[in-house]
Amino acid sequence: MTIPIKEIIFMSLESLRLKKLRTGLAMLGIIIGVAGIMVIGVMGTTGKSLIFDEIKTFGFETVWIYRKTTPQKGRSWEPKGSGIRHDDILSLKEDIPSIRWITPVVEEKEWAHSNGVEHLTRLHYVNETFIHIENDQLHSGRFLNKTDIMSLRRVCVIGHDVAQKLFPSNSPIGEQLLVGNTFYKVIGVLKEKDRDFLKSIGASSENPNGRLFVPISISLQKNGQEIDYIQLSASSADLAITTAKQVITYLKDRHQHIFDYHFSAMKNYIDSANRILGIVSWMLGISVTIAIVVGGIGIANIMTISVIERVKEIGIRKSLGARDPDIFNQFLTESIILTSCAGLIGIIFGGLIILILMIFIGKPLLFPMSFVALSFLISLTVGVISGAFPATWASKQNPAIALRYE
Amino acid sequence: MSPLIKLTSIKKDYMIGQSQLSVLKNVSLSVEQGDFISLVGASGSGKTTLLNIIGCLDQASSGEYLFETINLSQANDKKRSSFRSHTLGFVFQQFNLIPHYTALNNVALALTYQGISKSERESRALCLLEKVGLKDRATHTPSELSGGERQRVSIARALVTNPKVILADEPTGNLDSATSQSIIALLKTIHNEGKTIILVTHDMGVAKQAKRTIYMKDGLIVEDSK
Repeated sequence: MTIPIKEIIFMSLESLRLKKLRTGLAMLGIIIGVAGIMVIGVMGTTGKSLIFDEIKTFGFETVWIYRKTTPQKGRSWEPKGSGIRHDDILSLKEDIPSIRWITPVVEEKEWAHSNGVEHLTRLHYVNETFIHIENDQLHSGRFLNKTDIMSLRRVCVIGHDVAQKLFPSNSPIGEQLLVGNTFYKVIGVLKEKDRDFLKSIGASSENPNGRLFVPISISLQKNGQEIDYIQLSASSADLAITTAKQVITYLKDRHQHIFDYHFSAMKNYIDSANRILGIVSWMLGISVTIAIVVGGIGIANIMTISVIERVKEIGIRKSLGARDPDIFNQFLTESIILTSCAGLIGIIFGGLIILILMIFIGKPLLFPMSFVALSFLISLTVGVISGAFPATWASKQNPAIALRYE
Repeated sequence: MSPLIKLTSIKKDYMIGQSQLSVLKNVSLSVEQGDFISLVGASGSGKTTLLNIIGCLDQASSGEYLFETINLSQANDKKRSSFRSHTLGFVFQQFNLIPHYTALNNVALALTYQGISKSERESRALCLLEKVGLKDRATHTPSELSGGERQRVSIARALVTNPKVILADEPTGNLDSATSQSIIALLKTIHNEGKTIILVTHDMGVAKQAKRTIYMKDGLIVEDSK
């Protein structure tokens, strides 16, 4: 009969205890590798969600369509204006079914005054769908609605920073706000939006919390039918680019090809972000794999040395009746104990690094348990693989020769 | 009565490079229950190889090995290990104790491979240590024991499984003559309790204490005096 696993574990612990320094050093490779997997896993997931949370503040399906201002070839004159009129977009939603929401936008920089405080805002003339397109959330009050637009109501919705600056102590809802030379009643305040990361990499320069929204109809009355650009949301991110192209074709036809248009779609940014994150995680994954493999080789080394040193012990055990599988199990168990302990220490070590990073960054990190499980599984596997060869060698020793070994 | 051990035409060859070395040329031997045999011969005569084959530590190149009615000539690892564990006890010249185990654990280890529980292992081991007069040394490691004490521990280990046969390879080879005498006396006691003992030695003084002496030379038995 083979001896019970409890006995084998006890024996293995005994021999590992005997060579503490060596055991510790052998474990180091695996510890670093496993901690690496944890940190990379957590940073990867957190980084990805951070980036995507910020991308979401523009809307994954969002498309902007502008006039292309580069001169057309073979034309001596350039037409003036934005090339987009408000009535251009009225039938678009019906003609292109992949448009979910669409809004004309006119943008101005304008001073807003209240209670003697003035603040430079980015005034947006939009329709009621804008709040959906950029996934904005209301902090209080409501957004513009159809009636506001139809009846040219002098109402506005303000960004978080605008509310903070102009109404530091009271609720802005119902207050009158002077924007340029028009009074607007504040009907809603938007929640704060975070685009710090995108800003830090230069992908977004405008402060999303400094915006102020008023009905588009007011701009039409004041400035005429011309609008600055179209912002729309496609029914899915995958349809965003086709939709944008369809809109451009439509606009070109309507304007007898006087104007050229171009678009930017969040889909393109999502794709590049995914591509970059993919490359980064592959590279990190490869480096961690190398670390684990090197660690595994270290374990295999130590186990081989340990077997060679203990040939005589193998002979003794065999003379006492140990079967080949008993010897194999003993050495394999040592290796598995070694690597799983290293794995556990690595997980704890990795967890500590993540904790420190969390404090340092000041943001909660996503801690997927699957990485903990994966790390542990990898260390177990390394233990089995790197222990199997030395253990087989040990179990195959001829006891008569092993006993003579000095 | 059929013999306890019956070896017929045992040969053992080693390949050294391209040339074949015959260590045992043609050995036939019968051992009766209760024998006390000493195997004597110059080094290289094949006495240790013969003992190893009897002990299932090594396998013969050809020939037949019967223990009672069990044929061990072509037995697999499982059968041979079980045979070593239950039927044999080994005593070696180098003591062959595990250095980081205490005397008690060294003795108890022999029972581990029989799947016996820890408490029973320890009580039986302690009993045997008492028998060889080392009860108060139970917690000492081999390095803290004298040569004679180490050999007593290894005898206790050989006996703890209550085997039928004790195989001793130069058990006094590393001991001074006084200690040797006490070890031989201990083996004699064990023999008198009914154990079959096969002892390899090159010390004629030790050999003479056995009931039967087998002389070996160049891989052959040259004399068998009962």
